[in-house]
Amino acid sequence: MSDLTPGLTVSGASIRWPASERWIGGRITFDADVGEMILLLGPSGCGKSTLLLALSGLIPASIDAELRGTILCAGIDTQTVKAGQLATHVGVVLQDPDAQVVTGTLLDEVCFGLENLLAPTEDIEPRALAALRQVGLAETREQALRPPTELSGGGRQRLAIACALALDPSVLLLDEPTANLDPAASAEFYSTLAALSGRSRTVVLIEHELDDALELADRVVVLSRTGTVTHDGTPAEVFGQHGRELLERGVWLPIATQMALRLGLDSDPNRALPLTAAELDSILDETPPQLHVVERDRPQGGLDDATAAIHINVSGARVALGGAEVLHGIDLSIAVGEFLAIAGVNGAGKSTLTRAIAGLVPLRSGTIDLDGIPVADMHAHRLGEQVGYVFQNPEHQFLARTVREEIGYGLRVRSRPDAEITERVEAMLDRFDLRRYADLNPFLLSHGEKRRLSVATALITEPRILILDEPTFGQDHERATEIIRVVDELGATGITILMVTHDMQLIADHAHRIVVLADGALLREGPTADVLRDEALIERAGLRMPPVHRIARRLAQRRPEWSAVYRSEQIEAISS
Amino acid sequence: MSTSTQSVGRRPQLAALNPVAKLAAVLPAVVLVLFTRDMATPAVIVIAAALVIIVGARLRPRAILIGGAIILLAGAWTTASFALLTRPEVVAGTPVVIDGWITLHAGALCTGMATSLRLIAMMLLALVGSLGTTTSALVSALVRQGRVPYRFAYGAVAAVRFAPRYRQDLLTIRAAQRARGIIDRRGPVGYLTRTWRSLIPLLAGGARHAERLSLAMDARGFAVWSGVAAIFVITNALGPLTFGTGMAGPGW
Repeated sequence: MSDLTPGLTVSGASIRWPASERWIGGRITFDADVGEMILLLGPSGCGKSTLLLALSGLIPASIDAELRGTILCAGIDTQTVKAGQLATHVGVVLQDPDAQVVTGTLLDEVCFGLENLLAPTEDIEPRALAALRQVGLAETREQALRPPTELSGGGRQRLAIACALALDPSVLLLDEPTANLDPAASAEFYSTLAALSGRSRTVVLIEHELDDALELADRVVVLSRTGTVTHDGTPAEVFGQHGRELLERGVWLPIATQMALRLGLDSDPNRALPLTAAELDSILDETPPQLHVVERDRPQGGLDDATAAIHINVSGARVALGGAEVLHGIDLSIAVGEFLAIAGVNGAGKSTLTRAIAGLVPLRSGTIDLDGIPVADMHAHRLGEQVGYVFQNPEHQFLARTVREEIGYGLRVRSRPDAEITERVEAMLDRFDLRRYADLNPFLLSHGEKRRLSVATALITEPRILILDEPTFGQDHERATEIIRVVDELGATGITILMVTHDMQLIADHAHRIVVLADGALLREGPTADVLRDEALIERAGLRMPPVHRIARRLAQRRPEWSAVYRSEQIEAISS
Repeated sequence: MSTSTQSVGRRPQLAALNPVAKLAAVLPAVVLVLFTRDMATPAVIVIAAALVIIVGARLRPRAILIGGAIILLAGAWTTASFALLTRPEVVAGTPVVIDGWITLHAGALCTGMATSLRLIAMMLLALVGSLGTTTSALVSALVRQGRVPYRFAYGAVAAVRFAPRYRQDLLTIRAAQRARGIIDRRGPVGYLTRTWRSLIPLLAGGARHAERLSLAMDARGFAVWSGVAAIFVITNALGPLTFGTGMAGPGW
């Protein structure tokens, strides 16, 4: 491909944000050929997103950050162009679907870029309509006049792609485009992207849900925590040879690779690790039969245990927000000490249900009881002592000036004695590894630290119910594991846990029971293993099977012992 | 097929007119009302504007009744208040209407009614000028006919689109803070502390949103045409909006 102008040439690049001492990216160097699709990986905080902004030329043209080294985007030195000038050459799709919509209709939205770049008037509309047709959002002009608010998150991300495609850029950059989407929307996004991947466009993609993205990727570039390139090669080279090392660095792996590592398939250094179910299947054919699946179901908690008392009873609960009913008559019993997952696509009513249980939104009709006492009759302080609620965005809950005051807040509003407050706050600082930051402002912590702090503030009143809203959202592999470890430890102490999420593997690995919501109604509830194996139901809810089970089912075609596998823990190497 | 798209022929007439033309049409009437002192001029304009709205915007009978009731109540209230505020020596020559614990002259009542009619006339004219206008229609018309700089028009629209998202954020923040055990007192003190507390997370979230939106705009060549990076336009519009949202609260 050396006869073509490279899509991207990065040499010795580092970026520094204003008022920061630290250079992000240790002299990053790599090339991307025309038509190549590169997957850019690395633990959170390593500078992937910053690098992407530099690749697009937004740094330094639009963002006041310093770039060292050179980046040639479509052959143009990004240091020499003014803001916006690269837009004809490079398209960018960012993480948040809401933050990319400027105008009031799909058509206007796609025309926005064309108008900015002064495309000939008579070309603008046909080009915009063609782009909308390409991503499957509008066949006719009528359909193109819909407002973007009518689209789902997945639809709005495809709109962002259409906006980029209308300008026919030779480089397309995508920064975790499916991070805010539910599983089905995310799969739909990747099938759209696959249909578009021609051989003329260079694509750089940051993503941590690798299984869909890997099908499209030609190359993988991995950054270390300090932002240097540690691996650069085909997916088979990078994951096949270095799987264990990457996992230890906190990089997400393809599920089949993770499963192979659990099976100890990396014990033979000459064997490449599998990336897909098919590859895992054929490796299992070649390996000795002492590698096994453990038929071990999670100890059942909750309602199946006849001795467990009902902790939360929801009966005929209806909730209306702004006049429209968003929760339609939910009936649900949750036992003491149960770990219950609440799953559903965005807008299914998951958070509304948990907020109603915590007494944060009023019921239109029906009742919710905690230990037999209606939530509506409880004083807010008493309710807060029973229920700890960790919201998705930790910043929304911060009220104090320092981490120490933040943790003690729940006790101070309840006028507990000073000695007790001090003692419990100090214990909490140690338990959540926050002592170093005790006198810092909560807003100055990193995302992972903010999350730990918000869990600590929820637990200070020693509630018997803990509600977590998307606890692993936007975390890298290592931090997600750390949060879940804390939650599992809490579960072991007998606290009742309600977790809102659409991460199906997280549910599969940890929850006793699962409630599936769709359009504000309860679709089904039951033990995790039973519900997750009901493929028709999962699809109806707009969700996907947990990836481990998807791969296990493929393996089960010839190895029946795999058919019941859905949790990572069920996979284990039995050494001879 | 989308259910929300209306065919052009079925749109209410007020929505089909050019937004700038509508504003230009009502402006002379507004100026006229501002400088009249009699009762007849505003009364005629009130009736005419009401007719235009009823016919041109295709209001449902229920909406007309409610709107009419509101206008009558507001009219009665402003008439009474302005009548009481009129200096008695100005209207001393007119007959006395009420003579009890207050003394009200017919002249004061007339002044009050005239003022009230002028206010209603201006309200209705503003409605005629804005009914059926969407923000984007107004923006493109302003850019084309009004020669308003492109960057300000689009920057302002993008900022206005924050509003629903802000409202959602505010509801979440209030719920998130209540979950921490906060109970606000009723009345103005509780209102102020609640508002103050939600402003910081709202601003933090809003600034981040603004930054992302402006990057998305610049990535699509916004700055080429305008010469100004989107980030400046957006963040300038953000401050007032945050405070507006924080003050108005979720009831808005």
